[in-house]
Amino acid sequence: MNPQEIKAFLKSVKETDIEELEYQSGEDSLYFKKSAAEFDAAPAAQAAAEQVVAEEEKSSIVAITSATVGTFHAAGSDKSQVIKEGSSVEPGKKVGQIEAMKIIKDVVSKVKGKVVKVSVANGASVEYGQELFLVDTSK
Amino acid sequence: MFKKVLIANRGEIACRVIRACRELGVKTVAIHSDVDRESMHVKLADQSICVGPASATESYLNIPSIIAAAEISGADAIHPGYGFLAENTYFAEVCEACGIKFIGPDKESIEKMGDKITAIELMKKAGVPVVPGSNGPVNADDAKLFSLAKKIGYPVIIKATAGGGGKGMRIVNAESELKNAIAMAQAEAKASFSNPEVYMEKYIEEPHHIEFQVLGDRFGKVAYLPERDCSIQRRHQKLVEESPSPLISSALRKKMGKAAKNAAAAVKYVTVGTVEFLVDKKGHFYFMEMNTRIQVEHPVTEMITGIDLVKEQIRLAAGEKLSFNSEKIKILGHAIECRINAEDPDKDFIASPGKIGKLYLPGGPGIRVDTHVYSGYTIPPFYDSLIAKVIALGADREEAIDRMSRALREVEIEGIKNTSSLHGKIMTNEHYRKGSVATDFLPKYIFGR
Repeated sequence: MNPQEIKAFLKSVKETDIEELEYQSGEDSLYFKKSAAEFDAAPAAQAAAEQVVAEEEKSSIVAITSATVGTFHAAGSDKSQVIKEGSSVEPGKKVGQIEAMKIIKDVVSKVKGKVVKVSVANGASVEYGQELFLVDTSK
Repeated sequence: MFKKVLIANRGEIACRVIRACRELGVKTVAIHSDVDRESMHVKLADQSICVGPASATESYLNIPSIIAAAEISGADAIHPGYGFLAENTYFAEVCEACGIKFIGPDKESIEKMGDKITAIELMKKAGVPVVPGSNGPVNADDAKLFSLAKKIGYPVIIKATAGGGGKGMRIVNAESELKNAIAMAQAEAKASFSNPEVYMEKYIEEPHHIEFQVLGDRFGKVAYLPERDCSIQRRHQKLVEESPSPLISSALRKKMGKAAKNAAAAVKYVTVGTVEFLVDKKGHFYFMEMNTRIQVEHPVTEMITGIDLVKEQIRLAAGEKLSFNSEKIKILGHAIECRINAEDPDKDFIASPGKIGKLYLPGGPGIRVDTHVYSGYTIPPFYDSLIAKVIALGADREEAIDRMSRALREVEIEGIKNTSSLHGKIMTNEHYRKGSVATDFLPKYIFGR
């Protein structure tokens, strides 16, 4: 069951007098109960469901972050293929390097998608957890 | 002088070092974990770098990350503060190898003083008194057992070599109890640590923890400053420190200070350090250990001498000469420090992290507060519970206690539990007010057990 389906489901239940139901479809199961106190909570549940949807849409954009402190070098696996906006990445693909104490560590993508933003310039200093690229995983 | 110092620490000590650097005209780099983004030291420094996640192992103890941070920020020196990497020989070595000055003693000094057995041997050679003992394992059937105990002098204590937590320990007051005590301690040590080995040393009754601040420069000059009394402890954690000690006469101060100076000179000590002694009721003192770093309680010494120890430490690390002689130091009054921790004194000192609401910290004459917390700050549960140090300076001990008492009453920290009420009880306790107290003060007079 995806969030849209849950949202539609909650909406339709809200419009009925049903106070409690258990729904199962394949591996998905959903248990729903309206208590007297929660009777008016249905709109809140709907809002929560809407938020889930919004986050779902937002989360197709994933950040590749730095796992260490150092100097960022925008180097792909092949020197001619520097990762830029529009580049395709997939899990395991080298998207750059971080150099610290003369030790070079590869930055590798964990996701499949298209780069929508290069957040740091070549040669910039980066800290732990800093955003390096944004990837749209829905593309 | 250094151009830029990276502070490999957090909390109040990081703020303290940043302040010293700023007064010296030195730029600062704060490092922090990802949960410390909102911490005061990050806001105070000229520059900040996140070096890892919350776990100290991956951030404040992460040597490659910290060195990389120094590299990318162009820091030419690292101040380790206290705790974390302050007494880590390997870290001092890595700094040196990377051409970054470690603001502390040379790695050899840290190494020698970090190993108890080496340190004690060195101290004996330097003529510094150490706790007399068997210097090795003892057995009930040793031929020289009785003569050794006599030489050490009763009471003696039998301790397990692999010991800790009071297991495998026996106090012996007379020769008639000795053999039996050794057998008992051995049995207990075997059961607790799978190692029956025990040794014997002099038992120090009602010991006082007295320490001396020492400073050394690259030219071999060493000085000491008046003592700090750190006898009020809970589970070996200092809670209240004061200077000078009510126990120490000026003659004993000179004698102990000289011993501390010799201890530091024995390891060619550079920058600031502390030599800790145990002192018994009769004024006999014994070397315990040396801390090769700045200490939490350094402000009491600053208050009574007027010397900025952190600035002095940075200057000495940069190769400058020591600017004073021990003999010329005047004691400017009496200072007390209370360590306020985010702990619940009513629930066996359980840590109390969380968000601070309303916050009021004391002020007024003779009061100094070293802290990194502010209203709206969230104390993370990952690190030390120290949230503020309140330091009071008075013309004499009585005024310092009265000042501290009234300052503690002004403390208001909403949202979390803290230990200021316990400190208030100590300040009003008649035994404390009367004079020097031994290390058994808290269980005996405050907790009543």
